[in-house]
Amino acid sequence: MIRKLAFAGIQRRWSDYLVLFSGLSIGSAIFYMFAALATNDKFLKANINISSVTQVFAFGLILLTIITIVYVSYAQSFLLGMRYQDYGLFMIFGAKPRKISQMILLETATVQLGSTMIGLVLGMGLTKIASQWLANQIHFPLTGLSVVQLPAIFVTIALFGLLAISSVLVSQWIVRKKSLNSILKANQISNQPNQDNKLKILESMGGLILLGLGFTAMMHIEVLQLAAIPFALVTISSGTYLVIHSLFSWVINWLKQKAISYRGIRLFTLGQLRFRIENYTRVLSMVTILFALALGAIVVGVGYHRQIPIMSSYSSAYSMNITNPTRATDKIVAKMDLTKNNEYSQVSDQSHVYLNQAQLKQQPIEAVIPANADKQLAQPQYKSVSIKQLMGQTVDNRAFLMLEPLAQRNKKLVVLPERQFNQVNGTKSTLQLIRVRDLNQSVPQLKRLEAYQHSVAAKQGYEITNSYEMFVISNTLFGGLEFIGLFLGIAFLTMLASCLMFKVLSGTKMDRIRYQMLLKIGVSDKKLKRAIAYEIGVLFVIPGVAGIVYVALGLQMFKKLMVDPYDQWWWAVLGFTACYGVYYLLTVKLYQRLVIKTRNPGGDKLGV
Amino acid sequence: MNNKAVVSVNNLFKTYGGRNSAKYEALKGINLEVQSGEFVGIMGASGSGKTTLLNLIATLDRPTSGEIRINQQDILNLKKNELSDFRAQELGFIFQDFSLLENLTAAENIALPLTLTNTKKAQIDTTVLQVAQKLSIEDFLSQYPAQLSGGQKQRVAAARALVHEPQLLLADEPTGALDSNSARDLLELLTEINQASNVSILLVTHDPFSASYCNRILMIKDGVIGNTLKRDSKTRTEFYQEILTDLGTYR
Ligand SMILES: Nc1ncnc2c1ncn2[C@@H]1O[C@H](COP(=O)(O)OP(=O)(O)OP(=O)(O)O)[C@@H](O)[C@H]1O
Ligand SMILES: [Mg+2]
Repeated sequence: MIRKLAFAGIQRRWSDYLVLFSGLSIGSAIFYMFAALATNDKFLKANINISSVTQVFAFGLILLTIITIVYVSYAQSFLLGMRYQDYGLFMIFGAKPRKISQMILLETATVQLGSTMIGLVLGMGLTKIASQWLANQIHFPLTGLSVVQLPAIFVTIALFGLLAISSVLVSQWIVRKKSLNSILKANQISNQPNQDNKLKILESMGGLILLGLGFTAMMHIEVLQLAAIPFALVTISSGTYLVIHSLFSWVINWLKQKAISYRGIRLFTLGQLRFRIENYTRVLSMVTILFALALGAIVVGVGYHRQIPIMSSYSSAYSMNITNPTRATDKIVAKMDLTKNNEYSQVSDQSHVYLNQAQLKQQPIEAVIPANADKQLAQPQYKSVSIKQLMGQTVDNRAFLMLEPLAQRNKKLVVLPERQFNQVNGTKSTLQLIRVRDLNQSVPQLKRLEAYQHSVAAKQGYEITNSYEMFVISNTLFGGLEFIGLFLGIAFLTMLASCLMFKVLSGTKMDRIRYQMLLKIGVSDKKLKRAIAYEIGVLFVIPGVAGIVYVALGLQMFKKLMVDPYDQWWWAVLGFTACYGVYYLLTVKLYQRLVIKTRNPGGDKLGV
Repeated sequence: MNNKAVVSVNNLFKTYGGRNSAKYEALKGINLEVQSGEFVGIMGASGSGKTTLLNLIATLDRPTSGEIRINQQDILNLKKNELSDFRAQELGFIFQDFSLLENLTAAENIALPLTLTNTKKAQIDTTVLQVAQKLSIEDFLSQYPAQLSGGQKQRVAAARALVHEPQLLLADEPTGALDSNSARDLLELLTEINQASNVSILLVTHDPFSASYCNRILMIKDGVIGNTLKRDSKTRTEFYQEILTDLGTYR
């Protein structure tokens, strides 16, 4: 009987359960994805060139665990919100609390265990897809990444199992201990928002001071070292909480006095928002922090992505050197986007490499104009190398010889006037030097050209021949960081947006009554939908804007680690905002469906 | 047809269900008229179709066939948005469960119908105060519904239903959740408002006591209107007795 009732409940609210189920699945999938990386020591050590990488990931995992706990508890309260009234009703009919507890156990177990299992499978799939896609994007071969990672499976099941058990216990406790009346009235608004303005001012002052402390710590990270990060996290989180809590309600109170609020159902929307303050401050500040972390991770990741080719371009004036070009290499080169493509005839004997002066005058060898370390944002500038410099004991001489095949590198470079050059005896060869517009884009062709050259940087120690080699080496150094940044960013974004979504959706039960009531007294569907879009919009915009401001400030920290963290960071912000916006739209649509749509038209159900 | 009819309903049918579910004919040809300034009650057993009828008049649902005119306007020809505006301007509602918005203060709840028609704030403030004084709730205007008693809540709800001076006040079991004293207060209030400001009231109720405040009572049974009781010049107590006897014989 009890089993029947429980499943009847699930059946009746099928679409709501679907939202919950998919939400939980995505939650566990993302957790698994992250755990699969974090518990894979081999992968981390092989790919990421930072000694503390394991700690960084452990820290990330703890953070993600906290988010997951919050996330699941919102999802769970969404479930309970749907069911409370049913439980209350069953109890009125005389169902014993013990029976209700069994029902809760059955329902929660089905939903949570089922979604965890699906989430695991989904997580494995996502790990595969995401890692391949990202690896392709950043031309970074990930070694040792395994999709099925046993410890990760174990950790995921353990966490979600524990969460399921504790949510069962909490719901059972609520049903047993709380009076029937309060179960029936669960979710109803009870506490009055605090009206004291002086307290609010004090609160926002405190919040601002905490924020100031946090950001100061971040900007002076060289003084505080690693301790700056937990310190900043704590101060900024609590500062955000206080500021949102006080400022938010102060602004709404202020707006409520204004004449512009007395139009349509603006008063109602403000009232809704104001009553949500207590409930939402915690989510909003959490989402703000997560938003900033995720966006920061992406900005830094993208920053590295942009930076690697530019940094590499400074290592040599040429992207690739081809000795004795053939048809095959010409064919490849023809398809590339080049900014420079010169061929030089040369003759070599036992100890000399001879070059044609006339040819060098016509198409001089170029060198990179070195830039200050903190100015390496733009593509490098080039200068011509004079023949005297080329032949002397100079950097430019050495750089040119590096472009020669291995056997030639220790010979002496001699530039001869054309007539003499034509008479010199020795092996004739051609050296083709090319420079691409964008290393990132030309990687596949450069890779093929390199294969013709048999000159792999690794085989020759770390003396860099051309900028492509530098690019490959930098990618192995920084690619891991970039990967973490993008991966973390996407994982966090999905989690935080889902958190917010569930928080909003878990309130629909009571909101539905209110919105239905407004429909009755003559507010049109259209106006209600717009009001909902505004209301949820505010809830999404606050953490979004605050998060972006935090990233803008937090990037200061990376000034010492990156060339220019702010260069084009807006693109990352835009992309991120677009994804976030999709979540917003999804939430609005779901909310509108849950709150406005009439399920059974007519009679007592619709109305009175 | 009388020119002063606020509501006139002609041969109204409502069938629930259809295609995949069993059909149920809730209203089978209802005819009724409410004159301007009249206080009309609708009584009937549970399931007889009272709420269905009220919902149709309230434009919350559409009939299967028949005609409904409110203020000479055929409401079945209105589009969805026009219906919303029509409700906002011409109708006032009082529900059994008060249906106040807990996230707004009493004053803001009362102001709601006026903000829907974009009235100026200064105008709203004075109107709300006037209505509140009439219903003696001016002392708890800044309170939230959670801080009010049932009777107080229902008076706030009545104020909200009346603040925009609708032509017609619709009430479905407004006293259903009140104790007898609060119920009496509310009914007396409605009578007073009905007489003073000429608003027509359509009251759905089970309760003979509530019904005895009306000028006229329509007894609905199995989807049709049975007989009509008129108060005329009888006192309320006499009318109450008449309703009781009628219920006794009618059932
Ligand atoms: N949405 C609906 N779908 C199908 N049947 C309905 C619907 N709403 C009401 N009914 C049926 O129509 C009939 C009349 O219902 P209505 O709600 O009008 O009764 P009522 O007179 O208001 O009763 P009560 O005094 O109990 O409120 C009932 O038999 C009911 O089962
Ligand atoms: Mg009814």
